[in-house]
Amino acid sequence: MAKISIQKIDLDAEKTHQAFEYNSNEFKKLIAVFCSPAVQLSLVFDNGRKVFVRGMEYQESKDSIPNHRVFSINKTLNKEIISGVINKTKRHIGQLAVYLIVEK
Amino acid sequence: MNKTEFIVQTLDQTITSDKMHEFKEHLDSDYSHLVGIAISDTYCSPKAILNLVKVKGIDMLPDNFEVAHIIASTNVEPNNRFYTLFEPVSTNGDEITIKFTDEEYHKDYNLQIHLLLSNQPENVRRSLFLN
Repeated sequence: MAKISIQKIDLDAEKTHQAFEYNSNEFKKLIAVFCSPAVQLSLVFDNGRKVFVRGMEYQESKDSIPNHRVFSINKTLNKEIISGVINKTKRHIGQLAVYLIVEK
Repeated sequence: MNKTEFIVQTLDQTITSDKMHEFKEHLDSDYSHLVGIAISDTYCSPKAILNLVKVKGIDMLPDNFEVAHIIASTNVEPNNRFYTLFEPVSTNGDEITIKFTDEEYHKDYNLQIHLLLSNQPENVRRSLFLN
């Protein structure tokens, strides 16, 4: 049975804009992405060649279903680098991280 | 046994400061897997984090996981309040260790963490959450 795990990419909460990269070699599928509340997320696949989302605002509400607070992707990974940029909005507080739900 | 049978075990902890609180509890030994986690909407601040959630040395969630991702209000249907986007953890009565910190604590409150246990983890996940 496929095993899923949550990979956390910790970023510097002091910075307003920040780029990140993640080497997905050990995983075969990216199921979903989510991040710290009140940020804008850009995500690029295929080693920088395919922009998947650009500047999508990510916010969470206690009135929504926790399992639905993710961006479902279900993308097969081909030993690629996943990269992106996080921009904090003025409402952001606390730590800054991007989470990838991946399948082995 | 009904194929969707499950139980919800609740852990209560009074949060009394902005320091890290650690609590441990044995999970119900009649159930083999921990499938979901939910936190009731309380006074905990948007900066609250689960520093660690561990069973038998296995991390259920990443370290320093923001509570904002899993807390749900009473506007969410009860079964939908559970966060299940992780691999079900084998338990069989093992102890769970939870470390929690609320940096913006301002008064004492009761933190309730609900744990969804089942002997048929995939059936429960499919029937309750993936439809």
